[in-house]
Amino acid sequence: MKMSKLFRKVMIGAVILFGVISIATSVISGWNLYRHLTQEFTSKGTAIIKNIADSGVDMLVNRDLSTLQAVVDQFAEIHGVAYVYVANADGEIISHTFVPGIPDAVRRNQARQSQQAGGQQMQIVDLPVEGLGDIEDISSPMLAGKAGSVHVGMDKKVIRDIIWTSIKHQQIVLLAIFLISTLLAYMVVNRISRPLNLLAEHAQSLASRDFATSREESSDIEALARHAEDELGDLAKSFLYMEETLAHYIAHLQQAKAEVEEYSQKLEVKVRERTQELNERNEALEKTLAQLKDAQQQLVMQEKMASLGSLTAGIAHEIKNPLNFVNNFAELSVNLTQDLRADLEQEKDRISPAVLEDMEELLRDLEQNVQKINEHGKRADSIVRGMLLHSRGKQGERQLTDLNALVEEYLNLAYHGMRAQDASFNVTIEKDYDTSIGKVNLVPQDISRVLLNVVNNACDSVHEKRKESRDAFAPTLRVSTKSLGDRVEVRVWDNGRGIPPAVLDKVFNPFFTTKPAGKGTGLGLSISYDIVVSEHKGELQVLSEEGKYAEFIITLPKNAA
Amino acid sequence: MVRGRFLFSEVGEMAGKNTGWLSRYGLGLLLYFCLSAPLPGGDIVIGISSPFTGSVKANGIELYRGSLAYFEHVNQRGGVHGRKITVKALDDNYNPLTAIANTMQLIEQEQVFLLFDYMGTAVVTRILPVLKLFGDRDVFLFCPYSGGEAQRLPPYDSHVFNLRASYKQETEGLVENLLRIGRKRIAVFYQADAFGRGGWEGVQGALAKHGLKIVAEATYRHGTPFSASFTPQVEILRRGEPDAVISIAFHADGAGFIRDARDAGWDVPIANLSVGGSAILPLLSLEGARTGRQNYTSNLISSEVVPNYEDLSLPAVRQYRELMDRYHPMPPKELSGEGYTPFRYSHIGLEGFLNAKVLVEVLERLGEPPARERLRKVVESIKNLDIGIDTRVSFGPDRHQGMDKVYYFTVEGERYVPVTDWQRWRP
Repeated sequence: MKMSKLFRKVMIGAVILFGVISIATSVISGWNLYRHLTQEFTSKGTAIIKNIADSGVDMLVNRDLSTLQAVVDQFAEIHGVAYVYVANADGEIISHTFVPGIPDAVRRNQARQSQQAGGQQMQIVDLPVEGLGDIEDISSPMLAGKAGSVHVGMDKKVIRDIIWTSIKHQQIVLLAIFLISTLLAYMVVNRISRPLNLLAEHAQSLASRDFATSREESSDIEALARHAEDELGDLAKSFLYMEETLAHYIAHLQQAKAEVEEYSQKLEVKVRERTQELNERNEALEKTLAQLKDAQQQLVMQEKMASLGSLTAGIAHEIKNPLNFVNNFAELSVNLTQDLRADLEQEKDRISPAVLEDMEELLRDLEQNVQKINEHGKRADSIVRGMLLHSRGKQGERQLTDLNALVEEYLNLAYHGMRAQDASFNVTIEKDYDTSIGKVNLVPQDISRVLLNVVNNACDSVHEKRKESRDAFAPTLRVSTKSLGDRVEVRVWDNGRGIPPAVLDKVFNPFFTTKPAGKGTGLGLSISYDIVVSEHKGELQVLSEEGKYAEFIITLPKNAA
Repeated sequence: MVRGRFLFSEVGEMAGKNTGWLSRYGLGLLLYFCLSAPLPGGDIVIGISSPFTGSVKANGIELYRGSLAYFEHVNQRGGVHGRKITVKALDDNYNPLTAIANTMQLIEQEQVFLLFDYMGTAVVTRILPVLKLFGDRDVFLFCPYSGGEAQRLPPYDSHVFNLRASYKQETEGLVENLLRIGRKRIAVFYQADAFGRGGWEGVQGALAKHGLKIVAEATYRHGTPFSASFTPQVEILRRGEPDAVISIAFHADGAGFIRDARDAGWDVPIANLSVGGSAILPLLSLEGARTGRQNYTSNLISSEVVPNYEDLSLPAVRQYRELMDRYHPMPPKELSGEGYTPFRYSHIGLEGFLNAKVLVEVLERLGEPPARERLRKVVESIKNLDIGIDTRVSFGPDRHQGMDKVYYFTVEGERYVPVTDWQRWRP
């Protein structure tokens, strides 16, 4: 049980009061004792002094210091006497009790006192002496100073010891009385305050709705209600009744509250579950939609490619024959112009120089024209051939191929091709082949064409960029292969001009080209896409940032059907 | 004697009970005085109070043994005028209050004929008033082992017959010799009691004659053991920068002081009074052997009041040695207990022997029956008595000290030898 607050207050007051009383009594009795003891000591010392002064005179006069010493020694044995000494008329110490020697403080005091003119009186001096402590030096002249003087040193420590001992005893008695009084007070206060305290605590625990505690304490209160036949008993009974009623209501309330909480919890869980389901469904739908869009796009693309393919094949067939005629006859015409020139050479003497010159000029023009026709015819022929290749229906032979070797071979081919075209071409090639990819089942002729296309594009791109930016640019080509489990990946990266975002999704369209007119057919990537995606069931992707880089990623299944 | 005691004690017992005690007491007192003298044919009882225990018991015991050897010798030859000399010894542990009680007991209960061989100035000084109290009974103290002035000066000189020279004479002799060789800064190490004060006074007085003062002084408490440190005293004295130290101390304390002075590297000449004397030597030799230090016994001087106990040219010394070897006198076991190893010979033993020799001469001259009231006259009549040493013994009404001679010794090769040349200590 906690200590009653009332009692605690009374206790604190009592302790403070006790402290004040004990300090006050200690100070007063200590002071009184000090005064009385000091007086006692002084008179004791004085008595000793007088005794020695009276009996010692004889011995001093007789110069019998042995006997004087015997007397001095006797008095030095008295309790509280620290030392005794006798000085002669010249102030020299001629008998003393100091061991091992006369302290300097005593010597100084003796010298001072013997020089004083009024050394006829009894003197009391407070003297701190090394090794002896605080001393009260009492001195008296012998025969009015003619025979010398006697000094007694009274040890003040003895006084202090007595004072402290008596104060200690006093305090012990006081403390004992205080403790007994406190105990009695505690018992009395407890008898009155305990029931009140009990009720107060109980009320407090009720206030904090601590029914568990209050149940335990209730037994005490019940006992009180049953046994106490005074106001406290009535109070306890009312208290118990109130407690019961309160407990009843609170129990009801708590039950209702618990039910409500349960319902709301269930509701919340259900809402959360539904929301979750909806979200999941939403996501699935979104995914399906995206897949559908992709499929649609692919369909459109394939459709486009297919129609384009057949269109171009048709056109190519139609153009091929007339183009053959053009080419053959153009070639023939070149030969004819040469024959004509030879003939003209033979007959030049016969023709007037002006006509000859005119004829030769005409011949030269003719010759040039025919050559141009021939040249462009050949070019047209190669375009047509490309178109036919692109759109031809049959597929090449698949065989297990070392992809790394293939890449290396065509990389070199492309590079040297570029060098052959333009000696100023240069590029740093970084290769990173994954040797673990093993053999890949593919059509080597087709894939090599794809590689050649892609690498040629990269080389063109860096070469163009170099021409634009002169020496500040270090053209770099990075080619890598990588195994992706049942797939392989070939990446061709260049730091050339890149592809503008606007045309990024058009690069695989047939006849789309960014190269200057006459240089690209616009079919390379289109054909490549066809080979990789349709023929090999792989993927061809392009990543690029304009002005910085372009990267083509060819992904092929290792063992496509 | 027995009867007298009976009456006295009976009267004493009755005194508290009977209202008419005064007349009876007076009668008893009268009877007591008449019967107090030894009866014809009885022993002559000598009373001794001496330290048979405590720190100076060696002094008390050796003095007693020396005396006893001669009494034994006299008794073997038939005693003095047919009376045997018996000794009643009490232990006072060098405590003045015990000595006073012992003296009262010896005088009143033991009815001794005289008091003899008391030890130490501190004790003798305090029992002098007792002698004065019993002065009208002619109780004399013979040959106390003390050079103190109190028993040599009025008012107590008439109750004491000293044999040995006084501390004053010893210290004066030492001071004079030291001054003569140029050692003028003299310090004093002394026992803090009447004995030490007596010696201190002697030194002070001797120096004062030359207008000099003691340059430093240090004390020790009686009973301080040899094992205690005397370094504080050494330091105090050293501060006065003396060129000689006079040590007024019993042998253990004197030796302790010398040990600590030498340990501190202080090789100043240290002069000891007879009381410290030859007994210092074995202590220091032992300590030297224990610690392996050689210098403990160097630069030591001692004054003695009897001749060298190894000087076989003296008949008394030869006799002393012969009687000691013959009788091996031992102290009373009930007083000193077991475990004391006596010296074969010693200065102090020789002094006890000479004391006894003089006392026997006194008793011889006292005649038969021995009467105390005639003692003073008999002793004061002794002149130029030869007791077998190199000086004579003389007493007189104004002279209650038989000898004046002071001998000086030093240590050479662990042996105690007479000083032949003081010049060796010239600084």
